[in-house]
Amino acid sequence: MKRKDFLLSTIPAAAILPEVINGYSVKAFNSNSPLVQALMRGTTLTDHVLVIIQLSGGNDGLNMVIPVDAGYANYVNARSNVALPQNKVLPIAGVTGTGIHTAMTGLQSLFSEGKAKVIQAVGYPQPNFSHFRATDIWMSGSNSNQEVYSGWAGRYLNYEYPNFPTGYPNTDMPDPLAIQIGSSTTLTSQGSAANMGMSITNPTTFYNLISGTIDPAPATPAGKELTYIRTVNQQTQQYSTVIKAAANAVTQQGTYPANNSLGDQLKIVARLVSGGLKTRVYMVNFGGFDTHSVQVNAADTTTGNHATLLQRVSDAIKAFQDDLKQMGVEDRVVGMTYSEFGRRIKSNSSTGTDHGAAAPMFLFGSKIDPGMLGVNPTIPANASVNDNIPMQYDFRSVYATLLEKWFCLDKTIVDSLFPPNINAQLQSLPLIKAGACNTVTPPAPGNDEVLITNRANPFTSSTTIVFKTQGGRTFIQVIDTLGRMIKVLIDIDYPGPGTYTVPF
Amino acid sequence: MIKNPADHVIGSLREMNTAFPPLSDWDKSYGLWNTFYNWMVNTGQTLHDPPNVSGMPAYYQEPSFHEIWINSDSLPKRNQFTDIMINTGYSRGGFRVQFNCVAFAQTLNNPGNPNDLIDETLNILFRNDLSAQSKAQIKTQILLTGQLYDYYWTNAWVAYISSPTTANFNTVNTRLKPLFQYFFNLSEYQLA
Repeated sequence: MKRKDFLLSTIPAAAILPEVINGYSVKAFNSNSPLVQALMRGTTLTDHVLVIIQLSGGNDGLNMVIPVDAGYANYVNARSNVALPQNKVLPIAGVTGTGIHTAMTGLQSLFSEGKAKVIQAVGYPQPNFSHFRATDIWMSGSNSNQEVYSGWAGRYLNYEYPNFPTGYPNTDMPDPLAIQIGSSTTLTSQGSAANMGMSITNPTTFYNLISGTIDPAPATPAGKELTYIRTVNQQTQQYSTVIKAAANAVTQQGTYPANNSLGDQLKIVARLVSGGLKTRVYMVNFGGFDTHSVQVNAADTTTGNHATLLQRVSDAIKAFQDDLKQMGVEDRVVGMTYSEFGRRIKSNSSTGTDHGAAAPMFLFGSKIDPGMLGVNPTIPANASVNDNIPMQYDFRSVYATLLEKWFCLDKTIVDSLFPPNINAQLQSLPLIKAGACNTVTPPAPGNDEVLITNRANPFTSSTTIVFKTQGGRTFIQVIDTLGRMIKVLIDIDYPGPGTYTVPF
Repeated sequence: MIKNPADHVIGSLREMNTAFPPLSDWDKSYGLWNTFYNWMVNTGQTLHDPPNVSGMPAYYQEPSFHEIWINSDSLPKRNQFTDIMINTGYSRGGFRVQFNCVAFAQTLNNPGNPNDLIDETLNILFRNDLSAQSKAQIKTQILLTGQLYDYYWTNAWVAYISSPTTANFNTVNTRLKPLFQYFFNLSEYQLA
């Protein structure tokens, strides 16, 4: 399907096809498009969750993932005032010649557990050095010379949950599609028509879930009315009940580092995932990476602003992963970090680094294919101020791989979610362990076990059907002798095994 | 006081300097006016048609009075109205009535400074100011998309003013739209 069609056909909510699938009418995509054809097969069943950590400001990737092979001399040469001493670089399991920042001990132990991966030099052709533009590019998945008004995750969710927000929440998807921890939803979750995300420090909701800023109402008549409106607002947020229920379902969590806003955000994510929300995408943000000056302490380059930031990232991810494991949901979650760009190879004279291009990304989770993808970036012997790290992997290939191998979408669908001039170059990268998308086979019932019976048999007007389930999605249809479906009796997710009855 | 639906609908249209078709074009004008009239009906106020001889309950019904305007149905609809006006607006005969956040910002004295932009906007939209802490958080998270320095907004704004290309317009518009959406969705906006 042409991207132009995709954008054009979805702007107004006016054109609706008569076909109704699962009770949702399908948007006016060309019915020949693979998108609609795949939709006819129903949306993908998966309980996988993706957590996107945005490191705002442009993270200095070269001081986060450091070459300690023959390239180390050039690394020091290019940035002697910020370079880390070779013996202070932390080695990572299964990888030789590359290490990570001294402060990232938490991430180092995740590498040892086989739950982390670094992808070297992720970027895109003709990089843009403006924070705003580069952020928009990363969020939309566009080319640098192209304007796309929807986000990549939003297009994915729009595929899975067409027509949102009309008809949502519903019994199939009672929960928000995407949750952004922060005060506004971003371009990443912007679908082609509506924003698929909800923000849970939205001014009107959930003040107590996260330490968001909310002004106290003044002790005036206006303040009284303000309190009244806020109360109604909280009560009517359509997702407040499910989110609160999920949050309340978790009573005990692991320990998270103090004074770490990323940790605070990931703690909420862990709680909501474990609490049973079906939300597929979570976005969190951690800023401060715009280190033009005083990136390091001159006396000890392993400390300073950047070291503090990386330590918080590393500690927060480690605590998050441990918490997920403890709560038994770690196999459902994969996380990734990204920044709108890396920084120049050569440092500047104020012990800082300036806006650059490609940078490494981290992936974490128990289903990650661990280790390193790519090679150390080539650093010229005499790097100039304009030298950038050449890109090895396109960030859209990372997104596409996650959609295909983690969210289990067909490759043709994945391609249709990206502009056509990009999807020809999309690679399928080895990021996720094999088998992540295999459907779970329930244990076979015992040979003599009767799963379903009915009382009053034969019957004239009504009967009662008794059935056993192992839990999970259970589906019972009544079909007459001609094979015609009379009625769908049960199409429900049961929390656990049990015996139930249903009248017919 | 809590805004009545007419205050909310017409007030927001006026605050945002929303352009309508010329009065002589009665087809487009009446069609669009009807759309906004219906929004007032949907949020609880049918102008020229009060429910009984006493008028609108919000003006006489003790003890709630104006709080009657805000309930679990009308408040989400009020937010939905401003969301629609920011994102798509309404179109009739090719004339689109929509909140133009960038044009609004251009009417301010110093839109290149994110602090002044937020202060001046709140001065127009709100009756009560927000705290400095809230404004700082809103600025960083929405207008600066997480960046630390005000001059990134200034640069983007100056780039748009000196060269109003589509790309430069989008850079500022992508940030102003959620800013205004946030302001309109704040409970404070419902106060007259």
